[in-house]
Amino acid sequence: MACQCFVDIMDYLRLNLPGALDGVLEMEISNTLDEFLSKTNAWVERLPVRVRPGKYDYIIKPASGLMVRLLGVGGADPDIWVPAAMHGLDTLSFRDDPGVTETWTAHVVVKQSPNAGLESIPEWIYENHRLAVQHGVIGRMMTQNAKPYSNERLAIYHMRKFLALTAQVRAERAQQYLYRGQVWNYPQNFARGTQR
Amino acid sequence: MALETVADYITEARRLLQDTRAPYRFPDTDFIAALNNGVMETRRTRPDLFLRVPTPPTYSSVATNAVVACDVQYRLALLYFTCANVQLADDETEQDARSAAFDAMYRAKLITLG
Repeated sequence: MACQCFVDIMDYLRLNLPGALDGVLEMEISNTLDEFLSKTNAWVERLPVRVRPGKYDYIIKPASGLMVRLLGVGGADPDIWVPAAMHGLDTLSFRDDPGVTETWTAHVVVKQSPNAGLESIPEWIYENHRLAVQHGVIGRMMTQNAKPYSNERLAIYHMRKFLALTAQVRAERAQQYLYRGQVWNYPQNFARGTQR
Repeated sequence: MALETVADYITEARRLLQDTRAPYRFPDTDFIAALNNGVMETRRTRPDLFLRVPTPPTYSSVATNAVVACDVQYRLALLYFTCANVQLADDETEQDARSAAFDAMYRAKLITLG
């Protein structure tokens, strides 16, 4: 059962794209979310990793979706990252021997699996990023050739809006959604100049 | 809903071609052949109408109650192609113009907002 926000998005897309088929809209929603989630790091899952002394590599898998990249691994102190990287998109590899038996937390960026369908995407993504999804889908649909809704000029407009919203979410995600988070971390008294 | 089955397409096409009284000018098989041609042409022009359908369906006169797989937004376009294709076989000069008009309407509905 689709959430109300998804239903609203579909209605908005239909009225902006006369003649578009629902199957094609859903395909482009999937493509748009693939790009959006890959670029913004908006969907993060925290995966518990049971580490053991002498074992460097661990297979990890998010509960739903596909892993895009590793943000970091919180060790015994979850606020301090442990040096780690991914070997492929399923093997977490630590630089150093964990040395203890305990549960650490891997923070991984996730996007939807193409096999799971749009139902696998959490509702909050549609609710929080509705505008980005709408602009992205309309822009992509309008770039299609020889369709009733083909429109090169409007495609450019909508893709610009989509990219601007994507950049905004990526920046806010990088600052942990903290207003003026960068300023708080680096007091302005230490600034050596301005950006102007 | 109108234009669901093969029989619906034949009935509507006969109405547009003013061929509603027996004996008919065009046999049912002509309409079904035209409908199948329309499906093939639509598959070429708008492949998105056949998403996840690797082989476009074909219809026959033995099952005129078969549902024609076409999105409701484009059923009128397929009907126009059926009319155009049936009239194309008619060897009359004035019929060619009507056939061309139906064909133009078919293409306009598929690729423009017309």
